[in-house]
Amino acid sequence: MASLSHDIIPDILCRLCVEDLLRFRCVSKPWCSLIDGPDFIKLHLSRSLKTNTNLSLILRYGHLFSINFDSLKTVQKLKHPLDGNDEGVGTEILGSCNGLLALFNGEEKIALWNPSTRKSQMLPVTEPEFPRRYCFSQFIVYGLGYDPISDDYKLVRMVQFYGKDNDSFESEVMVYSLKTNSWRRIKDFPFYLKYKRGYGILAKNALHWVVSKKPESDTKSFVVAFDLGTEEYRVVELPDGLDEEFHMNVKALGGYLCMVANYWEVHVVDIWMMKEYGVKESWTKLLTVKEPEVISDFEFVLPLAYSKNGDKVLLNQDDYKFVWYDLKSKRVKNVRIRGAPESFEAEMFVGSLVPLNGNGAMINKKKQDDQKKQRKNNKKRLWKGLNVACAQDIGSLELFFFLAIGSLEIGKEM
Amino acid sequence: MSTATVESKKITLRTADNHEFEVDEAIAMEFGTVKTFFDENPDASREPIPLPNISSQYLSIIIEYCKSHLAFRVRESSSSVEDGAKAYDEELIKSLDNESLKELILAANYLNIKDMLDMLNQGVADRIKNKSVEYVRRFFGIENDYTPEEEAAVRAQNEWAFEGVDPDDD
Repeated sequence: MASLSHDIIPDILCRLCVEDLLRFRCVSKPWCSLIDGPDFIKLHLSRSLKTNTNLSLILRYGHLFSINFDSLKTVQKLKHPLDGNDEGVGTEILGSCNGLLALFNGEEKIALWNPSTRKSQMLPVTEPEFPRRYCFSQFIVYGLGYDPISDDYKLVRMVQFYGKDNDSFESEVMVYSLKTNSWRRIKDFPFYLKYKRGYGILAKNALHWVVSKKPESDTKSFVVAFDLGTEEYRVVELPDGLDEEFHMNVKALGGYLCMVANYWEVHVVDIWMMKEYGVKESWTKLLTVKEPEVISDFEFVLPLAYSKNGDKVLLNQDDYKFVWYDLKSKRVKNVRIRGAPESFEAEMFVGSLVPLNGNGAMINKKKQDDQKKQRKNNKKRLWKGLNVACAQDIGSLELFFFLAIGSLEIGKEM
Repeated sequence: MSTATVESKKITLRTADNHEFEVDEAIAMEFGTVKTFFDENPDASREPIPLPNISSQYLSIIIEYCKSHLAFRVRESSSSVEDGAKAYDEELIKSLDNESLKELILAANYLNIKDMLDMLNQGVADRIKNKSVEYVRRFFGIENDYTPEEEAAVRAQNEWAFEGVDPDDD
């Protein structure tokens, strides 16, 4: 009987899904070492990303749901480590990278979770340093990414709040490292985050956000990157000659950084792609969606993923449905998914064997218990009230309303 | 300098069971090992190249594959050509039993024919998808070196991955 040599086996196995591979750890001890080994895990991941296989869509509507990307037919409700969350906010996804999801329960519980291996890890809690002077509106955004220099997964947390006047702001940035299972404060983010919600977009091992220089006096939007390796911030130059009146968003498509320009007044969305990261001239308009020629009626579209052979782009339309945009014909086709919630946030996700430490839950338990006791005071309640308010995508009028509620709570405690 | 056209150059391959196959140079150059050999030794005499690891049964399949795919490549790229190549590959994989599939992989690996190896490896992956541990052991001829207790412990780490597995019916 022919016996396949040891160098051929990985090339076969890296084509399988995670579930098959976890089962095949039982085939033999050498197979178990192979499948658990960091080299194979990287090989499997890079092949999945290169061939657009092992992909799923994760939808969030209170609960979390997944859809197999190859079939795009039915929805499966996911059981995740922060289930049993009674807060009205539901579980949020703070980021998705190489098969890991960062989940947040809206209060202080954050977990890193690999849905394919079903392993998870709770992060140690770290409170933002509360500003000395009393201030309203605190915003917290996150981003999850991979640092190839230290071969580590990092979760970035940025807290921003208004300073002594409406035109100044302060920020606090903390970085969590999976390897050390600890948080570390790094230098402040010198830009003003435009969107109070929405995690950093991962492309080329950097997280990206839409920012402006100042909250009021200089509100022109641009894009800033946080390099996960060097932990430095840098501005990403945008294409020349863009009109002013549009709503800017950043997304990633096939690993490339994209800029979504929504000309809401005229119902047109342009999606630009930076074909060569960091090279301004490489910005290319990938596609345009015009109402009513392409889609009869829409508010926004966001790119999610390329089709397997790269001829179509899956778009999220209005957090309500998916369409395939054909790059050649410039037409869209609806995607019907059975059981999809009527409204959702969508995220791409690759099935991988990327491991978590597994001992994160045990470390710092006493510290967490002590911190829990400390938190029975006004400070914590105020933060919670504001945090819940700021976690929603709300206009300034509603923000004002929530802040008023916040101050009512303080009044109660005092 | 010879004025003979390159296209008519032939190369002879001798298999383990002493059969000789004469193929166009273009076909032989699809074999990575042959190409490397002639790149490094451009003046090497065109004596029959010995392939001691490969039997005639499998070399003929490999030669057919390379011939067909070369013909597909020469034609202008279009979706019908792509479909044609895909259909050829699917037919080939279907026609192979597990043993032949493995032998071809060994041969394609030895001859360093990347595209064919990729296609064959995918064929194996498709055959073992969702199969049981016992099926996979039999397919690859692997001996179980776990004790029953060890195997139970490893299985328990991911018990859920054993649900819904195809029953072994062979």
